[in-house]
Amino acid sequence: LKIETEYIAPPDLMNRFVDTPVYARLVHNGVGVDVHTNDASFASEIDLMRDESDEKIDWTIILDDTLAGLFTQQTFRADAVVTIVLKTGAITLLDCESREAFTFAPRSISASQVVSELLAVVTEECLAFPINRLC
Amino acid sequence: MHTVLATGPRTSMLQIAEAAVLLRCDSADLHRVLEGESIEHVAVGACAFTIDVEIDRGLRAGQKSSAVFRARNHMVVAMFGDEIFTFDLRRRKVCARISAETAQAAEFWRKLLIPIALGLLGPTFGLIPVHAAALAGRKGLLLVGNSGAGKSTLSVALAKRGWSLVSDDWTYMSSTSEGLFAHGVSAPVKLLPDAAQHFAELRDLNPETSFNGELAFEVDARSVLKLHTEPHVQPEVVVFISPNEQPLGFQKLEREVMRRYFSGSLERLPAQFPGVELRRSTMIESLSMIPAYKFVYAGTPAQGAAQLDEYLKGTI
Repeated sequence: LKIETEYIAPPDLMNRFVDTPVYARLVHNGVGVDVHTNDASFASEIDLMRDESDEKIDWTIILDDTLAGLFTQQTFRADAVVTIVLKTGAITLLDCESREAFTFAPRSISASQVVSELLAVVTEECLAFPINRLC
Repeated sequence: MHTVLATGPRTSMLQIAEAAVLLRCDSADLHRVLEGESIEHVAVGACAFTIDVEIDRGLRAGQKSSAVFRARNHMVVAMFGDEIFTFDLRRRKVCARISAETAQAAEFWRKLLIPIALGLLGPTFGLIPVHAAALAGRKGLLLVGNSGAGKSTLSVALAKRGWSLVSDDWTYMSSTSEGLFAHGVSAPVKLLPDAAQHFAELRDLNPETSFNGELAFEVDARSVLKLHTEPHVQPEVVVFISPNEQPLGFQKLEREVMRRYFSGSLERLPAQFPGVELRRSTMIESLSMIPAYKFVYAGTPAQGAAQLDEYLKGTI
């Protein structure tokens, strides 16, 4: 009796393991921001800056074909995590404590657009933490 | 800048698959929806995870079947239109901003949100989801098989023969000093449209599009199918069902086969959770130690259930 019990693992439906080979280090308000993305056009569009900062944020930006835009813009914080939704459909989860940001955006926008729209917010929210936790 | 998620002072302690869950939300509706899961006392420090919910009166309920899930490292986000759920695996926390309508949607919470939250957060506190049905009867039984193999149908047919249904699709495993336990949640039983041929209770119902787009009946085990249910069972035997094969009958499965099956059925975890991975591996090892059999049957689910019932009575 042939035993066919091999199970095919479910696909990565949440795009958790998408490779993000494109990397750039940016600086905003003295904070270094390491951006990793799967948007191949990203590095050529960004003006890299010299980073002499001790502060560092890791930011992963993943573009995919299945996300769509036209969301209601909203930003809220729960504990150390700030959730930012842009009208374009870009969703960002920012962990201010561990200084990690994750953006999931439709392919119709670029990682550099996400950065130009959110870089200031991401760095300011991180710098304000944990002070704003008490607010 | 941001606003702070406003949950208000109202809290409930829920018990879901033996896990104590703290719900914070100002909506009495949501507390009422989850009332059946409430417990009065829980040991201090025993809270497995928290669910913080803000009701935004300006939001409209999003279509639940068009949800978008995305994840990276310890964070997962689910968007149902403009309604947002975040799952923080590091802090074991679910946060949500939803409409008043969704707070009242009992089916959404029972069918979707609670199983999803347990599936995502469970491994961080030792509750490991496995793709299996669980039943209590002659033995504690885990029924496994690939999607579409007929786990739910055979589970219901076994329950019609007097077994108690614990879960029909996803089962949450815990390990204690007393051994392994398989837990269910109060999610409805999901049966494909052809199940109406076998279960009279479904004949006057219409199947509906389920969360994953499949047309299915999603019905309460007790009130609709008139089945006896149990919240948990200690699994003593695993049966791998495999329809449409030859030859029919039972075949003992090697431990390694079941180890591969369970390993392959689990979702990949990010590298940030080595402890969780270890816990899952330990659970898979324990599951693969349970005697396992492959069961190939032809005929109706009732006939399959009768054969399995007899086999479990006589052989094991």
